[in-house]
Amino acid sequence: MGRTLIGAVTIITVVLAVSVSGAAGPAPADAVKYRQSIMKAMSGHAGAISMLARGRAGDPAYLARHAKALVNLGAEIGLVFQEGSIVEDSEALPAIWEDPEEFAKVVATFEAAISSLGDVADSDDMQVIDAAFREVGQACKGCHEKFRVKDD
Amino acid sequence: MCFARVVTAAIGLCVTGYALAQESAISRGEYLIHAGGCIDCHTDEHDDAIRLAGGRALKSPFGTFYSPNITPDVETGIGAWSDEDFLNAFWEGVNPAGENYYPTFPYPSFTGIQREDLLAMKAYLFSIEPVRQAAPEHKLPWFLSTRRAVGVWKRRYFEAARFSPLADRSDQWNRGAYLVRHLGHCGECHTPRNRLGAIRKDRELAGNPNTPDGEVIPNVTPHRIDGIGNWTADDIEYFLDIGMFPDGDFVGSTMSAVVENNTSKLTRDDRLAIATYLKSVPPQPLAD
Repeated sequence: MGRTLIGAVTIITVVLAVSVSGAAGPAPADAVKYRQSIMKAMSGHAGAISMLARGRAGDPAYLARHAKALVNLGAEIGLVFQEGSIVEDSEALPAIWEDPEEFAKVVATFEAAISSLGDVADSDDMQVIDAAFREVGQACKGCHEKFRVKDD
Repeated sequence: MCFARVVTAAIGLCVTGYALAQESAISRGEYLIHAGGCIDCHTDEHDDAIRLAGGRALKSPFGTFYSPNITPDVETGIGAWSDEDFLNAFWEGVNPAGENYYPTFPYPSFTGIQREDLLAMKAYLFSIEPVRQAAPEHKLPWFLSTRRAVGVWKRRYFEAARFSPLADRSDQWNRGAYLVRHLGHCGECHTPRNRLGAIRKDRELAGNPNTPDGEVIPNVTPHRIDGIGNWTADDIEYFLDIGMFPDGDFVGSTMSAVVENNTSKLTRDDRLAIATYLKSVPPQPLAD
């Protein structure tokens, strides 16, 4: 009982802290660094999933873990593009904030794809996971195409 | 009576045979249209643009070109073209009136495409819905506004020749060479050009750091640092299939549409053929 209360208070405090600090936001350089870390972590898991799904390396028993990690990381994507979080070596395009509606649309597509991957992550059928993973990749591409510097 | 029936049956068979051959040419043509990347340039960029009806602006250091409509509309498309007209466009770089095309239409690559492939592509294009839509006029500086200027360029840089397979290379390599150099015209973006816009054959696929819209086109030779030398053939095949780099990142450049409209539509065998060819070209550093 006491523990629940402490838990609840902690959550409320965290939520308040986040929403208060959210008004000012992190320094742009830090926000970019954080965002890039999330992206890098996601690509790491995506790379691992692709190797497992193709049977090229690794133990397929770990595929679900990578898929879930990707799902967990993906949940944060909508939160890490704060207004003004752009510095010189950032690959984010100003279009993210100039066209928030379109950006929200691609983020929603990504979230839907991530959630479908989460639904099948425990499946034994590699083809089902592969198909869901390809959808995630499609969503990644869709956003990179419109909102990332074209240098790849 | 009996004779008449046999004749009728024979005509029936011939018509069916012809129809089947046409149908297979159409579906083969559709495949080749994807392999040839026709959709990217011949479809405008806005969301409700009609596929293959042209109008897309292509910026170049020499001005802005607008891609033509290649649906079978007689007035604004290619509906009045004969087989010869079609072949000449790709092989010789001339329109049905005999005028030179600007090499924005990549005939220096397309000249290598085989006759039966081109005719299948034409069969497909003639099977789609004609769309009446004229492309805007190109916006070019005065000295290029006459197509005669292209004639001078062609005499110096263009050589009409079909692809001929090398006997000492595997079928897979030859198929890859055909797809990369000719049908897929990869070098039109991935190979640097000289000041007059001609592709530098000595720098095949070494990348293009300065393009008019500021996009950096990567080096796809097997150079280990500047190119894709640390990609396996399987990595290349997978990239062309779903657009993922070996490090798990997903492509977002112009190549994204190329993967979407072209390479992901190919068979795995064709993608592996492309990979085999790419692994075989001389590694080149980005700067020369």
